[in-house]
Amino acid sequence: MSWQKLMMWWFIVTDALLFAGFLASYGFTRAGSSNWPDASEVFSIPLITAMTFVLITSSAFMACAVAAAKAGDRDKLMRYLLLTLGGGATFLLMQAIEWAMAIGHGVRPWAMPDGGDHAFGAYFFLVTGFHGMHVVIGLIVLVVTLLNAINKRGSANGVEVAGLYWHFVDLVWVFIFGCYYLL
Amino acid sequence: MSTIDSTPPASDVVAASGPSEPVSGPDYVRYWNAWLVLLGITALMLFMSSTAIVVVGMSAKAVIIAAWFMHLKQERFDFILYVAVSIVFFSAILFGLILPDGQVM
Repeated sequence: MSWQKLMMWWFIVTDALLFAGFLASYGFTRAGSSNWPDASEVFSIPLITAMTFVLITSSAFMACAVAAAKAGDRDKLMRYLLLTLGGGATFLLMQAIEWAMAIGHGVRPWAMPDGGDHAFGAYFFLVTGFHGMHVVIGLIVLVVTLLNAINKRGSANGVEVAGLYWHFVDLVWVFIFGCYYLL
Repeated sequence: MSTIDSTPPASDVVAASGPSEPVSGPDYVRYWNAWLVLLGITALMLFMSSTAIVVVGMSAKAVIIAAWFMHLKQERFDFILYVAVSIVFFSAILFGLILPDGQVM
């Protein structure tokens, strides 16, 4: 294992625990709340499901990009990286729509409509915002990786490390989707 | 850790003049099979949204993403143990011991 890959795994473990802390804190607050809003009444579950589909598909494209890089197939690498980027950008756009819809319903970090617990909005913007920030960073990493491939620079190891980060972004969304929207 | 390579193998360099070896089809198929399983679990979580199914579904999806997409299953066993134990142990404390205390507030 290269040191870059080891460092990325190290980051992933610590970042996973950070998100675990967020979600456990969310669950703790929700368990003690008597007026927690019903997520399905506030959010569009079909939109969230479509976001999940887009991110999982983007992750599959990234896995193919890593396989192409390891095989030295630059054309396929660039194609799969572009598809991964497209998926990530689409996810971000859908998240912007979701935020706009939530704000339109009156969800705020400090207030909820109809007397709902305001912590619902606070955790929603904190958790999805923090995850969205990871997506933005991932898109920047993917653009750099794509430019490296176009300019015949970089290594398969670099693509794999970028891929690890992107799959982690997908993995975290699995738990946000389950904890925030389904439970 | 003495086993960490300081440089990637020469075959790793993407900038090589051409493909070093053809990519076998099944490599890609394996990822799309994992993708199909992930979508299937997501559908199950949506349509049978009991707490137990959602929790098991989330865990199963995490294992599939880590094992297949992140190639964790190809790493050394002690490294898999490091990643799994670190996350599962501390998450178990957070979700199993601390979270339920919220109900007595």
